[in-house]
Amino acid sequence: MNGFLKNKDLLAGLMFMAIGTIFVVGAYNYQMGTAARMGPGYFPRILGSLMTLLGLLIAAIGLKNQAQWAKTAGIGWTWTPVVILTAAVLLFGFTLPSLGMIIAISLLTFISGFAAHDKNYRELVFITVIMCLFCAGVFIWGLKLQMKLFPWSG
Amino acid sequence: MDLINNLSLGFGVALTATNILYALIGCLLGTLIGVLPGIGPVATIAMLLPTTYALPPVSALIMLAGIYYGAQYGGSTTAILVNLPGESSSVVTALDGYQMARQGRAGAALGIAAIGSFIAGSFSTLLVAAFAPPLSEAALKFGPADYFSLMVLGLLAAIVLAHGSIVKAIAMVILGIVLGLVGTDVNSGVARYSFDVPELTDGIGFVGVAMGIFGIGEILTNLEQGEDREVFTSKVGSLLPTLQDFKDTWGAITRGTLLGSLLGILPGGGALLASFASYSFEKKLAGANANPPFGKGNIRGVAAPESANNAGAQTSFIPLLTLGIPPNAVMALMVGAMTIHNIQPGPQVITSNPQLFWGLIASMWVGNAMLVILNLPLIGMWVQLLKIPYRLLYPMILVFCAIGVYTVNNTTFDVWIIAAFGVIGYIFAKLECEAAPLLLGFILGPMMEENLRRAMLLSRGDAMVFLERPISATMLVLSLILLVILALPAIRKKREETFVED
Repeated sequence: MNGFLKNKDLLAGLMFMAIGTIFVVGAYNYQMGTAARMGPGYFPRILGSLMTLLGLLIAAIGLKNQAQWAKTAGIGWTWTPVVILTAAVLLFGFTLPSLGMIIAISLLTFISGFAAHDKNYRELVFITVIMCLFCAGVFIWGLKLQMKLFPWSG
Repeated sequence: MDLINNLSLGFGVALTATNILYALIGCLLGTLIGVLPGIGPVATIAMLLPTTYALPPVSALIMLAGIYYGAQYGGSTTAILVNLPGESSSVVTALDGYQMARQGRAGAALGIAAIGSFIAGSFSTLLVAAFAPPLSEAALKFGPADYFSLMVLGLLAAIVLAHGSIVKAIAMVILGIVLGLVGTDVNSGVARYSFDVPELTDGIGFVGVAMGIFGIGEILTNLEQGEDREVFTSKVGSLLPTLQDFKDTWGAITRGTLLGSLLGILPGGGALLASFASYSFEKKLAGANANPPFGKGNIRGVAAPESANNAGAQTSFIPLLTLGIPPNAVMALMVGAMTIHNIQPGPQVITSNPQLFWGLIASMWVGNAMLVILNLPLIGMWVQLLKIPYRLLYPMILVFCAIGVYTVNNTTFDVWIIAAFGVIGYIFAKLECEAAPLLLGFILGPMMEENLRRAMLLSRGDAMVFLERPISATMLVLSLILLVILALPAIRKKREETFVED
């Protein structure tokens, strides 16, 4: 079983098949129309089917080469940076409107910095301060974007 | 002389103080991100799009264009001094450029790269100026069927550029198209695939998609690979190539310029394809008795691809400006930039916005001249930048992405989009599905559907219209030939070899 998870083609093929199917199924909610008067469902249904077929082809190619894939080192997913960066960006989105830019940027810079394997906390604090000053200077005072700087500013 | 009149109009626009300033900002930023590996023009232009809201459209486009060709200059610096491609289009420059640096001739390599780029840039800008007007005129005769077939050809040609599996690349194009369909259908008013999320009825913002995949997704892939850089700063040597160097390279520069210009115009073309093709062409031409051999520090191996990538970057504006069809991911973002400013890209731009059209073209000369003058003396500064470790660089990129995308519509929804597409981009990279074709499909998708519907409505549902119209038929035949060529085993093998990076 483990060998199949090393197979990039098989996984990619399955991914395309899944997404294609979602679009085809979804297209049934919209009018198909005729070839001369295409409804909103026409184009997505064709493309979704095409994508599903291509996915099938990719998966088949993958299965054919399964023996070679099984010998590879594997895909090597490293989810830790993915989780850290995604969390940092989401946190930025949550805090920006209410708590203002300085807090949002500090959180984003500092937390995302943890994803590096050679992180250095002193450097991170330094870069966080620099980013806050730079962004406040460029975006608020320079480009005059409508953004709150601090939780208490209006 | 129309050309001279037009160009003087253009220079009138490009040489105003404001526009010179924006060209300068664009070129500097372009060089900066060109030098820095791990961030490319696609992510940068996506980040800066929102900040161009406030600018006049001409200044915005001048700045964004400067980023693209500035990156071509900057990329060579990193390739030569660090043996890392600062930009994907400089991958082949590293082969001979780094060897020259190791032999103590880094200066000559940098100099010839800049001079070659400048010659190529000036020549190809002239090509844009000369060919754009007649092409726009021809494009006005295009019907919906012709446009549809042209986009099919363009998307298929984009696959030539993709690494690895062709089938995967086609699937990615289609995925891009269907993602582009999310949102309200203009013909029926039905909100497609919006899952009752109000923000999705406006569609997925392409800035978010581009930034997520090319900004955050890239970072995630880069974080996996530890970095080791060896910067050759000690012995850059004289930046002025010797007379012998010029003698050796003028042919390579000329061939690189011509080949690059040609490949830039083709749908799917641009800087990347141009540099790869001209390097292999030059290598083949030199043969086995090249001295020194290619890959061992032959200066022609630097001159040809560096001229070609700049020429290709410039001429890829031709399909955008004349047909409104972006040939690569950067041009797809330029479409977005024009739409933000309510300019519909296409053959009518040249007549409806002559100032914008000619101003942009003239600014390319201004920009290229600035790049040569600025970059050679500033090379020391760019090299210093390479010493910034990636662990400090990527949080900065992340902040610019997050703030940039938020300011597009002042909504946090776009921040969720980049977070999601960052993860999606990472998964794509891990499964070896290249993302550039997806972005092109994403931009072209709605246009394709619109033209398909219109063509079929006009022909009363008869699909033969695509074969009956000569322009459309030609495009489809070319697409078919392309598909057959791509599928041929011999070509497939060759293509995989060309794109192998070590």
